[in-house]
This record gives sequence, C-alpha cells and structure tokens, in this order.
Amino acid sequence: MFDVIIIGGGVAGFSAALFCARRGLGVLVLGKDIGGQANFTDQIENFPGAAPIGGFALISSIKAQAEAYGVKFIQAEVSKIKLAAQAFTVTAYGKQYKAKSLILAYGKTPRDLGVPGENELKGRGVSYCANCDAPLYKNKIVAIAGLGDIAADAALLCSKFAKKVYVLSKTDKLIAHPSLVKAMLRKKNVTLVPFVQIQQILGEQRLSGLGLINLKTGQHYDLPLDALLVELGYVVDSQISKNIVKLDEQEQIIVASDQSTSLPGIFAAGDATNRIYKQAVISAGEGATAALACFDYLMRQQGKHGLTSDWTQIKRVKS
Amino acid sequence: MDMDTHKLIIIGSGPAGLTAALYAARANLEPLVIAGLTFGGQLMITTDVENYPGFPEGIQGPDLMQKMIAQAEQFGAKIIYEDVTKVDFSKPPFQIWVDTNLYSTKSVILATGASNIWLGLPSEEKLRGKGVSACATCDGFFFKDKEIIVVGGGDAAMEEALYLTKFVKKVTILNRSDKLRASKIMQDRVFAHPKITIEYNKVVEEFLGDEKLIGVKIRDIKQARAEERATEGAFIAIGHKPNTEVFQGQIDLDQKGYIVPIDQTKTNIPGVFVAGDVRDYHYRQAVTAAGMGCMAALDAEKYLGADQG
Repeated sequence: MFDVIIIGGGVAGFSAALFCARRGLGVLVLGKDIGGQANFTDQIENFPGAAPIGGFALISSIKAQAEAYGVKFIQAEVSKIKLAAQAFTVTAYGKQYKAKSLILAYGKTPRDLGVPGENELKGRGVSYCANCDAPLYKNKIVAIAGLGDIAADAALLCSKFAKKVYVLSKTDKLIAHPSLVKAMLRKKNVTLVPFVQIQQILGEQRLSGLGLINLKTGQHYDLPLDALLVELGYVVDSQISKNIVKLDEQEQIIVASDQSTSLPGIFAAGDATNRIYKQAVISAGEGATAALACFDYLMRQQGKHGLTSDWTQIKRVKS
Repeated sequence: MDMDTHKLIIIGSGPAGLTAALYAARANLEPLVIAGLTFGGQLMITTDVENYPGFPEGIQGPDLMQKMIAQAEQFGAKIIYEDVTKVDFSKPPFQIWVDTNLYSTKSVILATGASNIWLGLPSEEKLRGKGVSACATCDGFFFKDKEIIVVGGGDAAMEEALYLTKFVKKVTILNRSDKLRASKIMQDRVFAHPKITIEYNKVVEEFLGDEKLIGVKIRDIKQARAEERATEGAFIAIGHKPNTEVFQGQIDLDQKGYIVPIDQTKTNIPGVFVAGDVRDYHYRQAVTAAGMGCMAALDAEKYLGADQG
C-alpha cells in the first residue's frame, strides 16, 4: 500500500512526486511515457530559472530529483481506478496497485483533425508528434494544421529538416506567441497559407496530399504533400476518471484552488485539469500544490496536524 | 517623470514577479518590473533550495533568483530596483509612484510576497543585524559555537532552531504559551535534538546591548517574573505577513492583509492581477509562486488583448 499513487509521468506528476516524497510519503508514479506533452517541445526556454532545455531533459531531471527522495516509477498505462473503503486500487498493464490517495496528472492526448481520410492514414503520413517525426521529413514537403504555440514550434522544428513547410490557417494569422510567429516566418522554407481549410486527407496506402478549400474564393484544390502534422492541441482522455471525479464538458478534471477534486483523497494537477493555461511551470506549481494538499489530507485522516512549510533539509534516500 | 503609459507593470521580484516578467516579455508586453530595493524575495535569504523542480542537485536561493532575473531581462523585461511608495487603482490607466516618479500602466501584476513578522520592540529594531535576526539561513553561520535563542512556537521556529544546531552550541526556544503550535513531526525532531531546549510561557520584553546584542530580558507570563539572560544571538520566527501596506484601500484584502484572489490571479479590479505569497499563505513554495506568476502574465495578456479589441 502506497500513501499516494500519481498517474502521469510529466511535469505535474514528477513535481507532485518530489513534494510528496519530501514529506516522507511513499510514492508510486505510473506513466504511459516519461515526459508527457513536454516531449513534444525540443527547447523549453520559459521554465523559470532553467537554461534552455529540451522537454524530455527537463522532465528527466525532475524525475531524477523525485527519485532521489525515494519515488518509485513504473512505466505502465493505467486502465482502471477502483474505489474501496479507505483505499484506491489502480490497474495498469494487468497489475493492481493500492494507495490511500491519488494524484491525477495524466495530461492530454493530441486532438484529431476530424476529416475524412485521417483515421486511415494515421501513422502513414499523418502525425501528431513533431518531435518524434520531424527528423523523418528530411527534404520532404510537409504541412502543419494548427495555429497555436505548438503549431509554430512544430513548423520551426520541421524547417530544420523539410524542404518546404506549409502552415495552414483559416484566417491570415496564427494565435501563437508573437515571438514564435516572428521566428517561424523568418525561416525561408516556411510559408503561411492563409484562408484555407482542410477538407480531406488524400492517399491510399500513404498520405499523398490534402484536399483544401480557399475560404475567400470557395475554390477547391489539392495540395500534394509527403506528410501532415496535426498540431491542434490536446484533448483529455479521461476514461479512467469517469464516474469517479467530476469532469467538465471537455472531460477535464474540475479542481478547486488546492487541486482537490470532487472526491476526497483524489487530487489533480497539470493539463488534465480544467485550468485554462497549459504551461510547464504552471503544471509544476500545480503538482507541488496537489502534493502538499494531499499530504495535508493524509495527515488529517490520521488525526495529525496538517500542512507545514517546506524549507527544511530532508535526508535524501540516494545522494 | 515617466510619461508613457505602460502595458504592464509588475510590482515585486520573487519567483512570482520574475516568472510573470518572463512570460509577459515573451508576449511582447514590454513589462516594467519594479523590483524593490531588497529584490528577489524570500529566496534571497534561503540557502539550499532542494525542491525547485528541474534542479536535482539543489540550488542556492540567490543563484536561482539571479537566473530568473537574467532570463526575464534576456527576453526584454525592464527591471528597476526601487520601492513603490503609492498606488492609485481607482481607474485605468493605473498610477504607481516611486517617490515623486509617476508610472502609468494599463495593467498591473502584484507580486510583492510576504515578509517576516517582528516582535515590534524598539530594542529589536535597534539591534537588527547586530545579533537580532529573522533568518537563520542567512545569519546562523555567524553564531558558531554560541548559545542562542529562537522566539516562536510554530513550524518556522522549529525549522530555524533545527537549522541553527548545525552551527551553534545550544538553542533555547522561547514559546509564549504552554504548547507548541508546530506540527508533530517538527516537534518530535526538536524534542529529540540534544542541542535544543524549550521554555514555555516565556516572552522577550527587551533586547539588551548597544552596539551588539549581549542579552535578552525574558518574562515568565505564568509567574509574572522577569529575568535577564546573556546571549549574542536571537532569532525571531513568529510568522510572515503579506507586503500589502502600500495597497491598502486600493484593492480587496483579507483580515490578515493578503490580497483576495478571484479565479487564481484576478482581483476585484479588472486589470490588476496577483501572484505568489502575497495571496497565498498555504503553500508558499518557489514553484507554486512561479506557476501563479505565469498564469497572471497570461491573464494580463488576455486582458490587454481584449482591451485593444
């Protein structure tokens, strides 16, 4: 029996793990992967205090920090959460783990474009992970669907490899941070294609192009391509939380200011929650808050004094 | 006189203020940070920060703050090291004074943090920095092999006392009631420590000495009896208070003086946002403050965007 099981191996999950472990709690982290969405960013330059760092490297360092205080990590996807008296049972890859409390920090999964041809060509020219696939686009022609930071990031990354990068916009601009847009448009091989909508993904065995409509003229035309990167943000896959904690219409976990959910003993942090902004440092802060609120909950369950501040030196398990 | 109306002014320069500055600068809001004469916040008086995510080897508080300052400046934040003396948030653009210099801005992020509470004795003020301190991590080293006292009974006092045992010969905790407020785990650690003794129902009436502390006058409140005791070091650890004096009457504060947040970083005044310890007396971590600073900057950006149509 663990004091707390944290579901999710991203910034929120490992920050929560770090703060839980420093309170002396027994912590298990279960994650389908290590890194979560930060994996999709090759350089995070806005994590306060940190030199520019790859998303995976940042999370690996937080993981190492948590493990130094005794946190256990198992790479496994959680498929089920069960409630029992005074304990939660979590199933991951067929094994069961028990804990007195849970922190849900499983983030999000990439959102589908939702056009004909997409499902058939996923993984065959249609990608949702620039960081994973950009190096495969050497000298290829690719298009980016999406207007936000991650789309601009993806375009920047692809511009290092691809011959040509089209960024498709329904309007004539992006909603990404101005600094990112500026950097993106400075690349000679990146072109913003305004006022277009993707109607269909073309191809038999592999993607061969896109069926587009010009929203100004109403004209249909085909754009031949080697690959499409769908960068429309992420959706919550909250299957495991359904009927356990309250979710909003977008299936995001509804949290109070202390990161508690509708069920006592379950806390949530990071992109899986209904907070509107999704940034690494916000996830890290929420992970810390969830951990301290969880510690407070566990102490009170035992009739003990709750939260204290966290300035002290605590002995490390490993050096 | 600074005649331009700024898009965003950030008051305070701890993790909340500087993270807000970093995000606002990256969003081209050209933020002005009024950092304070004592900039960097509480981390400037913290040695080993072991719980800031991403620094597995730990980092010194002042080093972390220098990194945050450099990062915010690198993206174009302007930082001035002055104290705000007066504000007028009654209508936009908001007015902020540094002495006679007036700054005008469309939005503000308040991130002034919290400070130590002092006992409030004239002799305490006179001997501050001369044996009387509120920061064991800053000043503990100067009391190597001495016998010192710690005033307070909460977790902060226990932590200060335990930290000081690294240097000093003996720590006496003076607690004003007959019971400690500290958590059990902290009490247990203090009780188990051979260098620490606790005296109950004791208050400090006066700090003795002219150039430096030589002793304290202690009153036993149960016995109504006072005694003088020789010591060269006294650490005050009776809690924190929010740095909101300058905002009184301008924005909603709670009974303890903390700014009342609405939906995380908003306040009762549209365009005025808040982040960090000045609105949070529960969690008070560098990374929780940083997270809120980020949210406040994004909220300010959204507010300014809507303002421009």
